[in-house]
Amino acid sequence: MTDYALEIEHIPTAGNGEGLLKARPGEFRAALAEPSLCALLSAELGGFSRGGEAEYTLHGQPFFPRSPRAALKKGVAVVTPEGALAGELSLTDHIRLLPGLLCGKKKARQKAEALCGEYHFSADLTNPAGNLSAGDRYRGEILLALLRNSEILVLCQPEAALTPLELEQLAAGLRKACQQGKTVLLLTCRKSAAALADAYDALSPEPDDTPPDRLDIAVGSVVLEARSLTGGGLKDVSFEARAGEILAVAGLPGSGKQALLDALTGALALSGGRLRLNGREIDDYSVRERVRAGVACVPGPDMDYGFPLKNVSAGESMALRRYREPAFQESGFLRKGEMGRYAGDALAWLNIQRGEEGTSENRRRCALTRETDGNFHVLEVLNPTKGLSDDAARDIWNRLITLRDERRAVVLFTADAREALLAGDRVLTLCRGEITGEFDPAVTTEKELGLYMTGRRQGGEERFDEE
Amino acid sequence: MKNKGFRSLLRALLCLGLGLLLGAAVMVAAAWLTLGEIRWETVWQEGLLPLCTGGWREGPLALLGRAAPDALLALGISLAWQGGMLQLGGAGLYALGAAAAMLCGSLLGWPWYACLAVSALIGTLWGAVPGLLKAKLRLREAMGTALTAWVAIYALQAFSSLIAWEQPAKTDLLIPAPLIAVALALLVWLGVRFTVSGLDLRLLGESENTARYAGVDPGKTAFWTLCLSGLLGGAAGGLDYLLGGVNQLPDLSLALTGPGLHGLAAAALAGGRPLEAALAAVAVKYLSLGAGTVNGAVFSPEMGEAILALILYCCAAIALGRGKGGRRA
Repeated sequence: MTDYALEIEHIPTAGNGEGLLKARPGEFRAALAEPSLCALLSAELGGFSRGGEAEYTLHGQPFFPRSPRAALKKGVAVVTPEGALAGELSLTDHIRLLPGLLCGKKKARQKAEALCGEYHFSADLTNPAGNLSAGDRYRGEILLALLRNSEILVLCQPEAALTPLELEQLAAGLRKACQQGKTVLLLTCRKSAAALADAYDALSPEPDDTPPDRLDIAVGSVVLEARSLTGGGLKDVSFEARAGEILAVAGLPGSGKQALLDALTGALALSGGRLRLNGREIDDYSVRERVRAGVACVPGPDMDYGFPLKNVSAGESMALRRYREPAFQESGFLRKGEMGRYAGDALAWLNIQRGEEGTSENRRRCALTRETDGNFHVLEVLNPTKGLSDDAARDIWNRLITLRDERRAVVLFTADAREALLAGDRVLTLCRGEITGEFDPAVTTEKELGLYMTGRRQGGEERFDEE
Repeated sequence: MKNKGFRSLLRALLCLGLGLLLGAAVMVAAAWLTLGEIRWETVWQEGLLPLCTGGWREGPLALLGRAAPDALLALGISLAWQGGMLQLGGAGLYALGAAAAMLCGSLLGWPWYACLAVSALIGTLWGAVPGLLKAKLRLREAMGTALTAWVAIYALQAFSSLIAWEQPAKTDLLIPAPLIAVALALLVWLGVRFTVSGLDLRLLGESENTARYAGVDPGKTAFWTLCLSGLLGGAAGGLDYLLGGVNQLPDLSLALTGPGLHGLAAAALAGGRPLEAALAAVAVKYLSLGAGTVNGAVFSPEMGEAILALILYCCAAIALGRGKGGRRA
């Protein structure tokens, strides 16, 4: 017999170490770990993957769920920022379909509202899940877990979907659930989130919150000017990116970062607005023409644009931005030897050994190197450190800062307020396709940024209609 | 095991083996239904043995010649596959190609190479239809190609009263046919592997996002790919007609069996790789010819097509199991 509801042993930690995690019934516990470890533990606990080194025990019995359904049957519910809600269905529809609860819309709403009132958190019950913000989806999944009477709630990286203020409010509600006997395990890479729990175990070194070093240089002229960009979910977005500056655009998932990046690269056709690069109008330029004009882009890690790619060779992957140039093609035929040498030189420069190209960190480094080799004026990069360890994230930030010190313009799109404040020279917040604020990272806190990222504040004013 | 080519060969052999195994089980069941009892010797002597050896009856040259049209069709499907597209219109392209070759050869008296060229042209134009639908209206090519195939076959059937099917004039294309297939296969392979357009196609096959961010126009690339796929499909039908392999106006059964299925099975066995698809077409034709020699009193003539369909199913199942279709637990 054991006192613990959930035990996790032999957790693979950095430096070939092993970690241990134990949570008692009714305890609100957190684990401070790197994003990859958080994802791994939540995937194995949720039945999404198997075969890792960690060993799981549920009330003293071995726990290795073969599927998400098996995990739920055992009373373990895992909530991740990506979520598992069907986009076309509202939360009420999801509740109606819960096993053992099959009921009408009215009853489902009543149950949900009662639970929300009991735990003091809000959830949008009527709109389709695909239209909800990341935070609403995350809270919605927690609501479903509570309605399923799941005994153990595993919350993976809530900081990726919720602002610090929302996290605090959620924590208060979860504490109430713990008083009723539920066990909550928070897997997070943020110390501020871990500190919300009753206790936390540090499975990874605590992240360094000091801003990376950068040269003290005067910001230069406007490189990229966007005026009233509208379309594809964007609403009248205007901003300027200057030489020698990292402009961080912070927005939660679903805020329009992807649309804005696509608009700047030419992958998204807009219905209105104007875009200028070094004074030249580029609204009608195709993606290829913008690349030639000096727009470099590293889309998010989910966009299948990393390195290496599956269908093409390493040389072709590395020359993606330049394969039409005379250096890599002649009369329409690829110069594969040159491409291979180019890739080899790049990997050697990055000090990446053969076989190591596939790690998340190296893929990002290679993609960044690929896009920034050659002449470019502005670099747009989306979620460059998503899922990376703190050390790897710092490496990426340092590379962006190096480009900034070389007087290029860098536009960094991120869902992480901390990243925006640490890496950016200036921060814009984006919510539902609109710019809601502009900040100096030296005098702004994550909490304040969070208010603007969720749309609770805009232009310095509170927006109570969002409650 | 690390060698990609070796792994893909193993996968193809596994698909073939599993398909034959399942086919054998179907044959046992068919024999039981027909004869009222399971006679293993009958299944072996009258079913499996002729299935596995019948394709060799006319000799290797005949096999290669007859496999050439299937190879062209498989090539067209593989080409689309490289771009991440599913070409399901092989049967329609084949039918149009055969009809065009018949009209040019028998009615107009054109030489075989002119008939083949017209077949390829007709196939290109017909392949452009789903290409345009995909490029302009973003209609999935699987739906577009399948629907245009049905339209083509139904249209030909509608005009069947006006077209009296004529057998081709005697031409000895049994030797040139595989050479044509090999030449086109090499051309396609070279184009896909070593040209800028081929890289554009493979980037589209990686994902539409990859292609878009790399500056490739997904719509245009998809359009031209489906046109080329249509060219090969039309040429397949024309070549088969000129080889004497099409004895009547292609009918609705083509949509589910025959060359349409053979091309898809060969492309699936090859994992969508052009050169390998042409080779796999020979294996598929071998089985198909063998199926024609099983004892018709015990086993249905469609047994061969059923086994090819099972092989196709095994290929898809193995591809899904590798994580291409879903999440692994």
